[in-house]
Amino acid sequence: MSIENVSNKKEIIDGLRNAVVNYDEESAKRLAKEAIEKGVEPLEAIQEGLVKGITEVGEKFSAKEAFLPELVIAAEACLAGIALLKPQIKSKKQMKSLGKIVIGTVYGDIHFIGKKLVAMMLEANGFEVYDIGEDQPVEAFIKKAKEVGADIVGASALTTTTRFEQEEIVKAMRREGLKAKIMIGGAVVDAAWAEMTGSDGYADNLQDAVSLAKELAEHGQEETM
Amino acid sequence: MMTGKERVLAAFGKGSPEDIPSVLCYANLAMWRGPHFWDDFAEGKPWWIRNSWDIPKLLEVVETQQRKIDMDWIWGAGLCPSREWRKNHMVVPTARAVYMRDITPGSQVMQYRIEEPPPEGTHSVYPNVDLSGIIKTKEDVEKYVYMRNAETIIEEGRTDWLEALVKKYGEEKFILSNVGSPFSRACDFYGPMPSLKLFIRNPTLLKQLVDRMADRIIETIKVYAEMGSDGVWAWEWYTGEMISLDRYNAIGKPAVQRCIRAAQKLGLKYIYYPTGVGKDWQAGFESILEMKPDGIHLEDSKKGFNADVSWQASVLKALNLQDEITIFGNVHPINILQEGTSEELEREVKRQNNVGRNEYAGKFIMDTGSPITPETTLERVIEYMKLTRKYGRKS
Ligand code: B12
Repeated sequence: MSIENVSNKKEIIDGLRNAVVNYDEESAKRLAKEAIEKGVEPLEAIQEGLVKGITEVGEKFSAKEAFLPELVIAAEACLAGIALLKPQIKSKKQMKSLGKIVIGTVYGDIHFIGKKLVAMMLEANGFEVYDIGEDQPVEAFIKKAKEVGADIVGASALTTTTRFEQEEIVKAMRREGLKAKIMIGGAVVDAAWAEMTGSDGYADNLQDAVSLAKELAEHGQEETM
Repeated sequence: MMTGKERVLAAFGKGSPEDIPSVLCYANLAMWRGPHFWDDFAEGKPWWIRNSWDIPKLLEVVETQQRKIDMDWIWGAGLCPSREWRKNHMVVPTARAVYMRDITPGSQVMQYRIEEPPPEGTHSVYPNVDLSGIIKTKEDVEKYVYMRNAETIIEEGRTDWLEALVKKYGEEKFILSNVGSPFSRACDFYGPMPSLKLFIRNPTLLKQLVDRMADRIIETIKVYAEMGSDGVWAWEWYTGEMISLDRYNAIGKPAVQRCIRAAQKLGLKYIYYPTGVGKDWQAGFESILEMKPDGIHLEDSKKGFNADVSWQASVLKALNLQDEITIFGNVHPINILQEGTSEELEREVKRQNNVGRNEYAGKFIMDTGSPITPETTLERVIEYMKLTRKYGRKS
């Protein structure tokens, strides 16, 4: 049964967006359920509602109008809504994810806030994300990448000491012949370092991380076509 | 000739000092983990003397470190495990591995393996905990944020390391102890991710946690004052991009302010190290300055924010705080110290010293913006220290 009342549908979608923007997980879940009950296209509810909301909060975060607490709660609200809506997406084509990403913080490094946020944003934007946690050795990245057939591997490092692990990940991935693209990030990572490691790109904020992942996923697909 | 301690104290005082003091933040023994650093300072002593807290031997390591680097302060003059603990623990090196054996009388002998810090540097020291399921009320806060009063800490012999340092260096060097910010400490204790959520979901509980942490820190401040430290250092990381200024002001600032006053009342200098602070967080910087810590140290610009010493001096002067707050140099440990050419290094040291002396009347202490990286060679650190001395001289 599809929704007749356009204004009602719009209200639900706007409500989903607002729930995320207002850091309100309960409303996000309630409205997601309502969307399902009232037959709003789940993909549309996700993309036009929840993802628009989190994108807005992400932009506010970059502009220093929102901060980590807001971003974390908004991302959780968004993901809670997505978790309810996603299983309802019927058409095969629509269900296709943008790609599989394995992400983690490198060995010796326990900073995980940035990595976690990047992971949440990627997931909210349609990637299938496997967050392997922090303080993870090179082998853990490789193992997971092989296991899930990752399109992208993301490695976060926040200190100058641990960023060398990013280079090791790149080397190991190449050595193992893995095709996945590698993106890196973290407080001490810049363009020069990204190039030095031989990775496929870096990002130092959330929006750039999402755009980079989209770009890498596209390239990856072109190459394998 | 002034001692290092006199140089640092002069920089905290009024009037232009003879020489700009030169120090290295985070230059404690635990930091020097790269093989070159430890081997250079320890001169053959095994790495596990840090685990067994062999105070006489550790003092020798500090002595070599100071002889080679010659900083004006002693960083890391903190608490050590209690005398009881040290008596009941012994390191057992075997051909295969090194073990720590707990021989506490009356209890079963316990033994566990201890690892040499990896040559590439530090490894996890902060587990990411989540206490959200455990700490839910003010009573829980009081139960789990354990308070040890100053007398007990001293009685337990947890100040033996500090005492040894004060005895050896108290006349010559500025003795600096690390206390941490009650705000960041509380969040780290509760768990970084869960505490971020508390800001929105239960700010009252968060504030209770922060206040309790401040009480605990104030007890250690009393210990440090009693045992002869000259100052305390507090790293704050809930600043800059991390949380909003309103939240900082409401939840963090009152507790930090309390610690600052407690230290000052006892004659200790309080140095505040808020990370991620630059020109685009100027309102936050100004709010921090209102608390009037004795010293403010801003980290080098990590993500392109402007934390230049010249900008810092101008903000402080505009607020008419130039006689009250000392600023620190923030030479970039990666771009300049580790990777810059000798010319770049010299230019930057000279520039920052000039700012300190000429734009800020010498209430300035030369330092790097964040810890020295293990990839930086000792020769390079020595070259840097020599430059700071050369350009720090008054003439
Ligand atoms: C919070 C923090 C901590 C917390 C960590 C809490 C946690 N579990 O995550 C605690 C206190 C535990 C901590 C510990 C330490 N820290 Co710390 N920490 C910080 C701080 C203040 C903020 C980091 C943060 O979370 N920022 C917020 C997030 C959102 O930003 P972000 O991580 O940079 O992520 C963004 C981007 O970088 C990017 N990104 C991140 N990851 C990825 C991954 C990919 C794939 C992509 C595409 C993008 C991307 O997107 C994110 C969103 O915008 C920084 C200072 C700073 N200004 O960054 C120091 C800092 C990183 N820490 C530092 C140090 C030295 C340490 C310690 C070694 C201290 C010590 N002496 O013990 C230990 C490390 C222990 C270890 N083995 O890892 C130094 C590193 C210095 C250096 N040159 O190497 C810094 C720079 C502070 C300083 N000035 O000294 N730290």
